[in-house]
Amino acid sequence: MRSLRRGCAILGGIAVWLCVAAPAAASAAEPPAPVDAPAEASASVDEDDPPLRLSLPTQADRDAWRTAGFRVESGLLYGGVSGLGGAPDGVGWGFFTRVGARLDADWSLLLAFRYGAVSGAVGQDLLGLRYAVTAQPVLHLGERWSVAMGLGVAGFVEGGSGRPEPDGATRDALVAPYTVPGDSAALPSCNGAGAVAQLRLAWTFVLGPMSATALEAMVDGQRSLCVDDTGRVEPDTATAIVRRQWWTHVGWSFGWSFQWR
Amino acid sequence: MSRAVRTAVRALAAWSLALVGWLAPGVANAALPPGLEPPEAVTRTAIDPPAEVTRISAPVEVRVKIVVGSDGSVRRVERIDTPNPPWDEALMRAVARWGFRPGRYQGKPVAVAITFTHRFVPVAPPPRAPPDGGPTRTAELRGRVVEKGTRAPGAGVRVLAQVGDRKYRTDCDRKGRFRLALPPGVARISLHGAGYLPFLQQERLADGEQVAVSYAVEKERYDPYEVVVFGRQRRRELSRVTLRGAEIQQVPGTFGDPYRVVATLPGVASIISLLPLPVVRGASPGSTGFLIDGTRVPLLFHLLSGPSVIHPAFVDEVRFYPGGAPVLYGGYTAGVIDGRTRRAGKDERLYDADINLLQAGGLVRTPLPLLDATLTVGGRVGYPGVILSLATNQASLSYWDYQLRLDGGNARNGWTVFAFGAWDEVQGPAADADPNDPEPELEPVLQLGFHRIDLRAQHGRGPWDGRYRVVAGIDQTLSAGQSLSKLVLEPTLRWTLRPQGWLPGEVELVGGVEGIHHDTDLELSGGTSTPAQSQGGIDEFATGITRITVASALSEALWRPNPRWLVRPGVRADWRYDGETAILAADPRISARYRLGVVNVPGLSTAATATSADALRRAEQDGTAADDGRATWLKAGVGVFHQPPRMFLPLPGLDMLPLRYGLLQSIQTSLGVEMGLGSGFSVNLEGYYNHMDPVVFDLEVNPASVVTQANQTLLDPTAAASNTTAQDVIDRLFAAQQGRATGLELMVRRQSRHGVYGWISYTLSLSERQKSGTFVPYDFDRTHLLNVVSGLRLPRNWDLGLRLQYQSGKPATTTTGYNAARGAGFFRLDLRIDKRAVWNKWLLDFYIDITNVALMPEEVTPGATLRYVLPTFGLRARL
Repeated sequence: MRSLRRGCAILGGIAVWLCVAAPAAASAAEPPAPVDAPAEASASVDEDDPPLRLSLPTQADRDAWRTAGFRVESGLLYGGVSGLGGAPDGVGWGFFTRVGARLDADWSLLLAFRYGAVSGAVGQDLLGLRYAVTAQPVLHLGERWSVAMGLGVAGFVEGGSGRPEPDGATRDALVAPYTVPGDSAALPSCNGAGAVAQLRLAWTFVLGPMSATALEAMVDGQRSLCVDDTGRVEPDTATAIVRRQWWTHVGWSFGWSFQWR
Repeated sequence: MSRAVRTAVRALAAWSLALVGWLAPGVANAALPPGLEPPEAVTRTAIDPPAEVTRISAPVEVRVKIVVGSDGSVRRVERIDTPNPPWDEALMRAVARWGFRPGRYQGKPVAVAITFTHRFVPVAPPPRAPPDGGPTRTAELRGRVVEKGTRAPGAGVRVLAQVGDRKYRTDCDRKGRFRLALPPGVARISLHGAGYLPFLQQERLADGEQVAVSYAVEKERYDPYEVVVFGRQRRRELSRVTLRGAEIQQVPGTFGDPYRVVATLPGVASIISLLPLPVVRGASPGSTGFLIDGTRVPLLFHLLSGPSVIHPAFVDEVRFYPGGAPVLYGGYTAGVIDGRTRRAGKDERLYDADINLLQAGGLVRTPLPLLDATLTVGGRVGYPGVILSLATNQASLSYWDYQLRLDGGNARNGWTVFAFGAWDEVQGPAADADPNDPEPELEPVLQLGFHRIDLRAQHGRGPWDGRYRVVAGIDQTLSAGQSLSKLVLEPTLRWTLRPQGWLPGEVELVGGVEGIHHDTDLELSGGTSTPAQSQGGIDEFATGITRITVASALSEALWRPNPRWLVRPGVRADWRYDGETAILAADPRISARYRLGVVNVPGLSTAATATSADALRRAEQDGTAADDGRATWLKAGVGVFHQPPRMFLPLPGLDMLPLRYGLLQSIQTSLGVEMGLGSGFSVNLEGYYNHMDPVVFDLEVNPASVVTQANQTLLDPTAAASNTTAQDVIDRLFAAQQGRATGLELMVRRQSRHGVYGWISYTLSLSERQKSGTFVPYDFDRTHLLNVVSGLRLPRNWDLGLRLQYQSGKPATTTTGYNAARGAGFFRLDLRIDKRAVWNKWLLDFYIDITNVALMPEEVTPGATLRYVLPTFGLRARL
């Protein structure tokens, strides 16, 4: 219940900034008490030059990863999107970066940036870039598993895809911005963004006190306003003449990432 | 404890000096005052923690300002943050007993203020000592403690050893060495020191054995920019923003380039967000000067839009004057962006190498005992063509640059040789290449390059200081069979006098003469240029440029009649001659500042600090005009500025254009208020009005008119492209016109070495040009400019940076008239993550910088939208 309340608080908008700033003080270990203070004068030891030695581990790796603090993830993914109601499909590789904070043993809050190529059948499917920027509260289920839900903005950047012109909305015929019905054929080019919701399941393997690796699977749903720019403007207002169309997609992806703290 | 103190005092005193009012007036002009030797602690600097140290679970950090007098004594200790007894009291009590070798400026002892931070680390209560003396300590553990990565000695680090159930301790000396007698057995060793991570080791000591060890202890943070200035310098200019350290090297979306950061400051708009050509207070980019140590850089950015031609490690700070620049800067009618390098320390060593997707570079700094000087050499090679080749085989890009600096003597009586240069090359298909060849042979189609050598000497004696300088160089631009080369010679003589008793208060007089001689040689392939070549070619602008000579004289006074007032009148006269036309112009300028008092903002200001009246009275009594960053200043200024006609794009050899087009002139006025709020926060609000008459070579791209016409293929009328051609744009460049710009600039800034730093800048502006008798918006006028730049320093050497930018849309021509409408605005969010990995003997930085993470669209021209994301990855090693 306590975790649930915390989760709600997170979803209510705890700023990442403040969250990552807070745990900065937990650094110095409690030193052992001085019993004797010989305070002998230091003498030269320059005659000896033993090799430098580093500290033994002061904290178990898993414990280190459960403590609050800054986190960064970066990795590769392979995934695809399926268009609903006539929107085009596409698959491709991409990469992602996430930054945020481990809030406590149960929760993290991440800001995720994902970029990837999408392609498919020429003249039919997507051909360009797909991206998403989301905020992702993460619930850690034990030591290895975690589930995250992301909400944010996602979009497409396409050049010429080769898709045919939709009926009744020929590019050169337009004299004003026009929204093409969603059930028409997809616009030949799309540069637009909209809302996205993501659900991600990850399995993490701790490599050391500072790094870990994870495998993950994600599904998402996206509703975007697609814009096809004609390159012309309305002469009276200098407003760009564009064609718009709402697209809906569901997507999936598998990813492999490295994490650092 | 004492190690931390010494390190902090040394670092902070050297670089973070709050050079308030105690220094000689000449000092405050430089962010790192030349000739300044910081104070050095000469007494024991241990800080005894209060008894409460055993009852805390987390470190307690306290900041104070220490004023070290010219006799080395601690004159005053003040809290900077809110009261936090008993920690601040313990620190202030301890600091008050310290003694220093006084700081010196130009050989004379001066008073200096230092911001000092101390962290009290939790300590477990000491158990009662057993009545007996414990086992005989016949073994010995001795060794040294160094910082991991830097190998700096771990001075003051406490060494604790536990053998059985008994504990022993000692402290490292200033060289990080220690010696500890222990009983034989297994010893569990731990190291403790402020700012260090926990350290544990285990040693086995036999009876009578001496064990030598070397321990590398890791710091909590390795801050590459510990040289950040936190204190406030004595303010002298009307409008100047100075950025240093992480503020110029870790701002997202700038690729770590110091000069690009200026785009985030008030008053700066852009033509296109990726192009580093600033529109400062509504003026054409050619009216803003890009300088390095006061010398104009003929090509500031590689390939006009890449990284700057100066290695970032050379640039110590960037000074930005959006307007009202002092008379020391001549030849610009808008802003001045001056990157400042610094003198290398006598024994300074640095080895720095970096590589990213576009370029690789390096920098070496090392003393030269034979010359009693320090040498710094840097350079970079850019290979953007490799990335470009992934997209096309029809073009290739490359560049390189170099810098060399040699510093001898000291800041007041010394010399400097600074040489720098750059070369860019754009390759395209060879003239005889088959147009259908997918991989044609490439040949250079554009080459831009320059070289400069800057020789400086300075000599000071008594109240006099002289600075003598000559800059020589060569510029070269090769384009489309045309070659433009230019020889440059720019001598400067400048003297500063600080007379005593001439006027009430303090007076500083500056006088100087400057010269510029440019000898240009234009060669066209085939001897003459054809009309086709002429259109848009170099000779379009350069014809008539052979020799340009400028002789200048300047004089300026800084007068502080009392701690409240600063008046700065000045005038410069420039005589320019290009073989045909001679023009003499005088630029009188004056600015004034008036200090109102100290603002105490709850939660930010130090409640324990004296009230504003007390602070001011105290400042007036000791004659220091103590500006501790929490004063409020009113400021105003007016001045005349002239410049020769210049190209809007900085091309080597194509700087000043023929004087027959006339000089550009602007009259700049501004009025503002500046407030320091404590805790590193400051607010600056400034309004300005600039009258520009005439304006020549103003960059204008919008069509003069838009007509509608029937499209032959459709019944409906559609927008027709304007008939504006490149020649129209060129023709408009030569036409003189009037302009005016007015606006309001706000900057809220936090400077801090801990936690969050950054700034919010907002500009409300209107820049206009007169067309057919009426003023209309300038092509690159943007009504609202907002930048939020924020950096967060995190444990384990992570740095996180975010930048949000908004620029409202540019004017657009419609059927209603020229620039009668506005295009769409532009949002951009940039992200940067820095991580410093620490190895035993060196440091390795990783960074990722993503520009426009959300791929927000930018309207370049009406109807043409650009959507991009630019991720950059890089590595940087330091030894």
